[in-house]
Amino acid sequence: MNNANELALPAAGQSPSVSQPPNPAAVRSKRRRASLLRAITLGSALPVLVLALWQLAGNLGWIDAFFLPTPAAIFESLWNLIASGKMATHLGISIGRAAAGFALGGSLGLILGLLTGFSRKSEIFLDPTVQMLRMIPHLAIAPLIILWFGFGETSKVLIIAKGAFFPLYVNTFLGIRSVDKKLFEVSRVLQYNRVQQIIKLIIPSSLPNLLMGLRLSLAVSWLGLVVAELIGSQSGVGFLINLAKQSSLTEQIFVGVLVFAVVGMMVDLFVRSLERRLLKWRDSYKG
Amino acid sequence: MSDHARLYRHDPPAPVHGSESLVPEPAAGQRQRVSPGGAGAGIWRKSLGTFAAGAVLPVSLLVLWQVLGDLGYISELLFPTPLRIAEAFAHLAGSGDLGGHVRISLVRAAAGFALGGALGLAFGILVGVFRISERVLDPSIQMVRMIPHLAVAPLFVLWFGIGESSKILLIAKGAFFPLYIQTYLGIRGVDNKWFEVTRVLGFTRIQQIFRLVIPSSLPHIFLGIRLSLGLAWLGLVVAEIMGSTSGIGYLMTDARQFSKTATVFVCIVLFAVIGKAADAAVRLMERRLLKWNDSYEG
Repeated sequence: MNNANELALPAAGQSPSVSQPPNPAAVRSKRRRASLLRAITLGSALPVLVLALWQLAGNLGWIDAFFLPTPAAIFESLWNLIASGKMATHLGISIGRAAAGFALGGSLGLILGLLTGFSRKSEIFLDPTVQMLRMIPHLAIAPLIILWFGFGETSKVLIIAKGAFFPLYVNTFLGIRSVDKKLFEVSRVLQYNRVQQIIKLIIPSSLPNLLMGLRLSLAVSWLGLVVAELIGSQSGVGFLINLAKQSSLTEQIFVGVLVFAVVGMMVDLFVRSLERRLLKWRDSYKG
Repeated sequence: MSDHARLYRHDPPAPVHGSESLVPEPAAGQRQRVSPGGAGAGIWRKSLGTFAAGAVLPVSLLVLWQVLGDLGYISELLFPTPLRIAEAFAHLAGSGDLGGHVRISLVRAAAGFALGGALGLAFGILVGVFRISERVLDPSIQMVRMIPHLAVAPLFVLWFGIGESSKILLIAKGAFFPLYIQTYLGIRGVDNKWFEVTRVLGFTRIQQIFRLVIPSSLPHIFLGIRLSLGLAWLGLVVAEIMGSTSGIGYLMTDARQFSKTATVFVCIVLFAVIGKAADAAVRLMERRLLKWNDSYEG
């Protein structure tokens, strides 16, 4: 949001206090900042309220600390983990795994989605199999993958990739199949060849769905960490949660959940801002 | 048939029938795209053909698997051959337990899907139509979406006890999000131009919702239903991991404890087949309700 016009220097000889006519770019960016602030306030209203009630209920003794640790206790546990440096290590490892799994599964999902979207023949052959694979639970496939690929990083990345594959596949397919036939007829009138059709019609038209698939894929890769790190793992945030589960450290479970939620949110917000930028041309209902 | 569809049909328009039928009955002299054995038989033959084509890949994989297993290339422990799995399945089905487990799992998944899905649809519509509710509710919902199932499972059991409610709530938590997101996406994807048309036609708010927003977002909502159903089904395993003595998920975890790999595979196959059947049912309904959708078919 850098506007060179914001640095409207006063003309030579004029004192800076002389009021300049309102610079439209400056007004726009100020308005954007105000609306961002308002968005953040509105968005955090509900979580803050819940947190406050939670802490209050804990302090008043309405909730058993074992069942539901107060936010204060959770933050204390989080702080300990951060201070000892353990959180950073685990987080780094987890992010690396999730990224690798997402890259693998996501790109496969995209490619296969494009293939089945474009060609009805490949849809008929490939789609039923893919749908059946989609219905196999993570937890079922995880031990099998570990059995086949050992305890190393490969099996973890593969488990995450399995999860990341499907949202991108399904959404890419839907995106391509949602393109209105009328637009195809227009492209025929304009005498587009196949490549032009793909680049100028199908891809922009299916971009909203593609980006949604991207968001969902990222979310699933991130969440898949817990399953991937369930067995035979000594590091990562998922491992922390599983360790806490076994040792009944409820606060640590919450810390892990909190870290998951926050990092996941940040990644999601990043993709949404990407979405907003790439889809500015869209003229659709805004509520 | 709507004017729109009639304009864009490639065949000459058929005489208007009383109601839409799934099988396109060709008018006299109309070019037929299906076999001349009559439109009804042709459609069945075509869908059978599609089904067969879809089964080519899995069947050939199964055959390959069996052959490799028999030739000893794959260890029996890691990878029981399809015949062994079928044997284990017959054994389980014969003992009568399997039916009970499947039924309980189906009921749990259905209940969780109904709860989570309905809430997801309701919230999706609320957030999609009213911008202010999006600002307030969406960030919190996105944060909850980022909480892993497996991490929350013990917490749910802790709070709601070992009974059915914790399982159904866990499944509902999973089923909520796809429908929520897809409904939101569908509603926000409605082109503003259509809204302007409704304004020209003088639609009231209610008419706008029922005649524009809902039909327009139906493809997305159906995708959301399919995904929600899938997640509800998959969530069973996580839900049945703790304190459960019935259900396919329990059967699978139990078999894994005792290294009964064949049973594990039977459960996996059951998951895949039942899940695919449910998915196919929803797609069939989707095809029927979305016949007016005039979009690219590959």
